[in-house]
Amino acid sequence: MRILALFLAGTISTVLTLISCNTPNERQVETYIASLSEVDDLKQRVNLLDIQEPYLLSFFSTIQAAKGGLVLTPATSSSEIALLNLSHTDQQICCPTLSSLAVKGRGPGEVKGISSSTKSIFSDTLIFYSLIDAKFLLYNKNLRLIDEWLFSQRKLTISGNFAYGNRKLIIPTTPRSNNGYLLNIYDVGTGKSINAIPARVPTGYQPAVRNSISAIAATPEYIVLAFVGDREFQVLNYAGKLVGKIRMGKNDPIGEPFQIQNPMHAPKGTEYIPKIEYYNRHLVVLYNTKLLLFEMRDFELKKQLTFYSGGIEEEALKISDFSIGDGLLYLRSGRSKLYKAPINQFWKD
Amino acid sequence: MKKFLLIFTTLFLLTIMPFNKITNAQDPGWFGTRYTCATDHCDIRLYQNEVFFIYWELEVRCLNDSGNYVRGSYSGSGVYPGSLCNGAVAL
Repeated sequence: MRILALFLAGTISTVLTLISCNTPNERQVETYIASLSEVDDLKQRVNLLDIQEPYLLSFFSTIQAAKGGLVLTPATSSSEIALLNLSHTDQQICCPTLSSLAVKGRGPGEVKGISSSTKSIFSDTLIFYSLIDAKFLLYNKNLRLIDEWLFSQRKLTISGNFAYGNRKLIIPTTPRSNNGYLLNIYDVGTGKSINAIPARVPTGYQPAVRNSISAIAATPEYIVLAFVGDREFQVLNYAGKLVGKIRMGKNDPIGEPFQIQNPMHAPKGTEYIPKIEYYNRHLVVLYNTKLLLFEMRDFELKKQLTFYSGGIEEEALKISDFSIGDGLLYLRSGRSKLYKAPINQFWKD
Repeated sequence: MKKFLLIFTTLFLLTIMPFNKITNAQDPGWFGTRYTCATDHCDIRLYQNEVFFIYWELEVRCLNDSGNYVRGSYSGSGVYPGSLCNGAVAL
């Protein structure tokens, strides 16, 4: 009897010790500070693309570059074109024009409008999503339509940006639509999904905008995302577990949740990080209109880039979107200004 | 008549059953119509849940003078009040 009691006590104490050792480690999320002041600010001159026709670009759907060119989403629904293409060869001559990549309609390869877009991890597939049609258009890097996916809106709804990696669609959600979670990792092959990131602000409370994900990207190992109002990005594994944060500055405070009578009086939030792309084993982060280059291996900040269209004594460009493809960096400023620059120099030490 | 009622009731239940599924990530039970609008500095999106008009969500993305996007997120129950680009956007 005494032996049994000793055995039980030993077992319980061992289990308790293990729990006490493991719990803090499991809960602990490393936050790394990326100090911009300790990294050189490289000033880069970029060239304005003198496109010879009027066009307005969507603020919600980002630009996507690939080997075959740059793909743009028009802002307004009046046009008959759902996707525009600016080929690399057209850019060799003066004053390139835009061509149509997808038209509006109900047939194969057609949609009523593109609401968001992304690229696969290694930029070999470009994915465009139409919320109205619940349809994905998939193009290869040469911008040939290779597939279409149809999901019923009951099965899958993407209301904002999204990412794609390891056969998984990584979809920001609202707590109203997803049981209080802000991310859905949907396996395209099996149809199974995982919910991740509990709501930061409860449903029905403000500031609801702080539940919005402003940028998201997939890498071979991780999912990387940033929230509206944050000066940091979060790193999750494909099981949806938060594994780290990389902070460039202090986040705007969220404060205690509160309710409002008129939804139109809801507070706004700034998107300090509106776009993230994975390229050449680096994470390229658009932060406060600058590009930050993080080495993927250890998330070390290697470079920061500021862009100028004229001389570097002039005011820096206000960049709100970018994409990298085929050795070229494309930048967007406002609704209709596009710039480009070669990128090889950025990766030199 | 009884037989007809039984068949009708069964068919009706089979028709509405999918709407009664419990909400989860694989099957959000949330579908609606997207409305869009663009002004000089803003894109506006409205998602109106049109199954019994349970609720609406409005997302606004604007560019401010510093070159950063400013996001607004609004939601409410019932039908979205007002017209999309008139009065809703106060950014």
